[in-house]
Amino acid sequence: MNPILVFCEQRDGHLKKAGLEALGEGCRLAGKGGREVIAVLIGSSVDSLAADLAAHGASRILLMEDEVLDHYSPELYTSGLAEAATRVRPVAVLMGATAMGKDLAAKLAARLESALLQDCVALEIEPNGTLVGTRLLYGGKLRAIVRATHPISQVATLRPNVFSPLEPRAVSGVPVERLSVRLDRTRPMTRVREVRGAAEDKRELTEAPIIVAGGRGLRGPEHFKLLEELAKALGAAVGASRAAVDAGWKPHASQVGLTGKTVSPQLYIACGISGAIQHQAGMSSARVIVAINNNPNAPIFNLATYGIVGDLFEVVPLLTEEVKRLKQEDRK
Amino acid sequence: MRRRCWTTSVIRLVGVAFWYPQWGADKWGRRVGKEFVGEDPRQTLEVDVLFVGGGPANLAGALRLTQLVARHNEQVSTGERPGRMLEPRIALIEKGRDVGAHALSGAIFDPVALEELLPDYQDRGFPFVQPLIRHDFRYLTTESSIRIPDCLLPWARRHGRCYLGSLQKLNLWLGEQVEAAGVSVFTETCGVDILYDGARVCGVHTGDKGLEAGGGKKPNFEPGTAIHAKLTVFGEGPYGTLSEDLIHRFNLRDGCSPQSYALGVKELIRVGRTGAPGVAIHTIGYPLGPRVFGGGFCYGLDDHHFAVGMVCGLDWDDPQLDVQAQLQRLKKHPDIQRFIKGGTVVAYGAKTLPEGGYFAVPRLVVDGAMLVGDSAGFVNVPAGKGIHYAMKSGMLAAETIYEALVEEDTSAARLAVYETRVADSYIMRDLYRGRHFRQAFAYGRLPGLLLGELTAWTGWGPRKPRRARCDFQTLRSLGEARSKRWTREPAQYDAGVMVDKLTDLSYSGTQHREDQPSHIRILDPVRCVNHCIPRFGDAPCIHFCPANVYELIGEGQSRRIQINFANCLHCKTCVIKDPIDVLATDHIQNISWRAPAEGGPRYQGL
Amino acid sequence: MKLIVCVKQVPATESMLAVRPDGTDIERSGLTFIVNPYDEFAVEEALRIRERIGTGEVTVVTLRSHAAQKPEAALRTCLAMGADRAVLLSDPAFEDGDSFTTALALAAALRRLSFDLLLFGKQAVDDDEGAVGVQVAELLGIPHVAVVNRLEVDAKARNLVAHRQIEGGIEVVEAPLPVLVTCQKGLNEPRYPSLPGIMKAKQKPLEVLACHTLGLAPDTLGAAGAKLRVVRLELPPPRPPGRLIPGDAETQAKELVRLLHEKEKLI
Repeated sequence: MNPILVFCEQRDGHLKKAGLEALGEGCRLAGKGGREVIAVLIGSSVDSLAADLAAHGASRILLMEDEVLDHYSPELYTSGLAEAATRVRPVAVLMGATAMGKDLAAKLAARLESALLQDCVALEIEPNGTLVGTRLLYGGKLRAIVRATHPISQVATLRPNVFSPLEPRAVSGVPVERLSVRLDRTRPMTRVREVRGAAEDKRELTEAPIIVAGGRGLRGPEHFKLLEELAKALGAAVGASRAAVDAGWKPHASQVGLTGKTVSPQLYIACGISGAIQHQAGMSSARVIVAINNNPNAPIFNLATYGIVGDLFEVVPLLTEEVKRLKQEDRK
Repeated sequence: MRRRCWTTSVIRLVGVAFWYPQWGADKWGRRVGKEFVGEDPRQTLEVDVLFVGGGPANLAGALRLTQLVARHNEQVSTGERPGRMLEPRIALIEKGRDVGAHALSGAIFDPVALEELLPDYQDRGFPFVQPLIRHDFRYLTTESSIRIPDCLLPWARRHGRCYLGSLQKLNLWLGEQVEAAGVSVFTETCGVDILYDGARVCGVHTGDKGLEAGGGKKPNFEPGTAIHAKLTVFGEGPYGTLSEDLIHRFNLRDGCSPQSYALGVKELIRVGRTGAPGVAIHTIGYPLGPRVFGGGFCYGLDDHHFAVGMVCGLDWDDPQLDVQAQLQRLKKHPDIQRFIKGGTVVAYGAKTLPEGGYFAVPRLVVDGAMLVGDSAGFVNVPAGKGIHYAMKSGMLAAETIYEALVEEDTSAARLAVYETRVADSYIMRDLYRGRHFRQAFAYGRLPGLLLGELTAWTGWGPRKPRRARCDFQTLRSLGEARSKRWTREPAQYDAGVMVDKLTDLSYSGTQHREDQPSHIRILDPVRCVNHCIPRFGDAPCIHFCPANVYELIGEGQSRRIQINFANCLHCKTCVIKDPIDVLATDHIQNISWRAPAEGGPRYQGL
Repeated sequence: MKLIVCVKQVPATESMLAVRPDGTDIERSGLTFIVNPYDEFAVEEALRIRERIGTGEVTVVTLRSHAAQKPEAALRTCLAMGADRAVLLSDPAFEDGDSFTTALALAAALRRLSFDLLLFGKQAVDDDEGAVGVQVAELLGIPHVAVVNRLEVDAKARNLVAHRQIEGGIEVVEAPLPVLVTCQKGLNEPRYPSLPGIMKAKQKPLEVLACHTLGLAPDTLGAAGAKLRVVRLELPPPRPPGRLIPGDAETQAKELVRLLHEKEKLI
């Protein structure tokens, strides 16, 4: 039985949650066919993370370390992963659909001349190993069930926050293999000069499990402070609707919607957002949606799991207080 | 009296101050047009004939013109006709993203004009494939309905050999024919100013794109183009911005009744099972009271789609009447429910239609320009039809333009032949017969119906118009409005086919950049709060607008009307119905609406 | 400097979509088609680079497939914006492919047209895959920088510096030419075609390339070569109906936090 290969992304020595989710899903799929799940870790001095991967379900770990692998390089990472794929002949290569994952997956699939199931929200494996994935098209307006034509090294990326990682458990004796890859450094390639933190919104929207978003109902950029306080209390990221971005209240990086980012957090709190169809396209796959709006006819209420018809300037600070109180109680 | 003078001068000041960046407008927001200057510093485009607006009138006109030119050239080349070959450059501008994006109608389409224009239209992919099979005219009561037998209907309500379909698709198709015939079609191009050479119209100036809200230039600023034309044809639809400027400047409506309008809102509903293709139902009665002229319609367009709409004459008196809500109430009626139950709304739109009829048709020509279609008011109200009149008027204009090009004379005197042609055609014949139909409804629904049908049927009646009021003069205060008890009952929404206004709006696909200059202005915002709301008991604009453009926000002293111009469907109800006139003698309303250079609805299948 | 932009025609983003009865595609008749919005950023960037350098040529390339009804119209739009040349890949063999076969056809065409910089949109808003650009780079054996929202090209030194959006930050990447870049919103504001530009665009010829002129075997392309097939399309399942929380602001806030904490276990 060919194994399942999972690329577990790390940045700055920290494993990305999306990678662990892919690993969890890999284990689930592998369990069906009795396949092995091999995790691939690429970076510079990342061997300490191997134990974490083992705890999250990897039955074998391929480790590739080099100083030049410190930053993501499409060329080198692809070479490394392709090398791992030729060695273990996996039925599928899984990874999180992050900026790095989507980029790497596309390049890898082209190199291996295999199927690419990008940004899946559900994944199944047939007994012969063929992947059948569910993807969202047209900004989430449609779902497509896609099926690979050949069950050989199919590449799939999994949308963050949709799949769950396994509960970590103490394991020992998981083999860690060092993979030595001849890195051709003479080829023309991109080089990361630096990585800058985004000026605002420390938490990346597409990764955040909780998002607090504001729209035109906030009436001005100064009132985003209210949302930021709530976000801080919740450990959430702050998003904005197109109306708020177009009005210049928030940078484009925080726009949720068809022309902005597509997010699928566990919790999405929409404050003063009417919920135009353009906005819905970016957030309708959130697990729980809370809408706070003073217009009971706002379309967002059709989508919301919980709706509050009321003045957000009144409700949001109360909500912040309540969350803070709850967290304090928890600490006690 | 003193008070009035004081307010007027304040409004004048405010009006001027608020009009930035729309310099070139008079203090009421009405554009005075631009003088023609030989070498425009901005981009210019020279054409011979310019059609402003991509509706059925102008599309048919442009196509007709290319046909006449082709025939002329053939005859010249074979020696049948003396003279020189014609090679006119013909352009058509349309503000929608594509031809038809701003087009909305029921639509029952009578192909009489199209047959004349393109005898082989069936072989060219004509998009109206569903013939009208059955027509019902029903009087609705709250729970049931009575069919009005055909024999009681006037000639006009009988639909002969007609098709059901989407005007947007018809326009898109006509646009393709026009472009294939060699006309330059420019979409997303909006005329904002008429260019004048003295008293002669010599083209239009298109709008600047890439402006910031305050009027500054964005990095992708694209200045408008001066399109110079020997002849300009205005077919912008009802209450066209430039058409109204033209009518105002040349007093073309002198001696006619003021134009009266109706607002139509329409939804396209998709049902899973096989619907009722070819069935058309017109209703009167429920949900409107006897004091509102109007009714509903439900057409089975194909196996899975129904067009359901509501049309209300804008001379209603209830400041809280909301046509979109009335449409929802109509949809709840068992007669409509049996078609649309379980369906979903897939498109929504709104449009006004000119209903003044015969007596409200203005003069149609000035030096270098003509009016066609809805801009001229060619709608036959008793028949509920306008598309083929619009097309016919465009074709008649084209015949006149062709002669003018041959004779190289585009003066009003030469173009006046167009007025004669229209008067001799079935357009004015039909409009004349139905000339009292709409006016009769001022007496209420039942007398109006009897009187209206009678005059329309027989063609009897005075030759002179009954003195008509403008639509903005008819509102009464909440306490006095006579129609309110019929229409005030709130509409019920659910997640399926009954939808609220904002959800409906999202199905219109309307988009305006949020950071572009607003194309809607309230000249004197103070009057909204101090005058309009106390007088009517509510702000009428938040109700009559079918797109939630107007919102009343704030409390007490800080109450004001917020304009969400990005929602706008370009129906122009607000400028027509706004009850506050800042200049009574000149029909200048407090709301000013100018066609924006960018954005607008994106109708599909309406 | 030779710049090539690959564009795709897609249904307008506000379109109401319906799935065809056979379930494998959407109903395409009656839809409005536009140039993929991200591709417009790519065209605009190419034009700006050409204008900044002062010389150069911008070529737009598109591929006719089941997805794009009138690719010619998309090319005309790009020409009207100011592109110099337009190339259309048109062959029945390209139909019903996936990202890989599309990339294969494009790469073959691009090999024939020389270039210094290739620009793509970061993804097409219909398939939402974001793969074709990256895969073309791989097939051409050149480096790529994906999801770029700032770009500086140094024509003399023949390299570029790009800002690439990643989670929680910006990656500043440098790359030597020739290179492929996929463009993200925020890179620029695409220009509006001017009327004279539209007039000129109508007269420009479109070069058409077919499968055999590219030296490609038809069985590696389109449906025959696709590595991925769409089994069916479906509308997303409706969300279960939500509930409104009644009461005054304080009760509402308390109740909401309680629900999120106890029922949903989110906080």
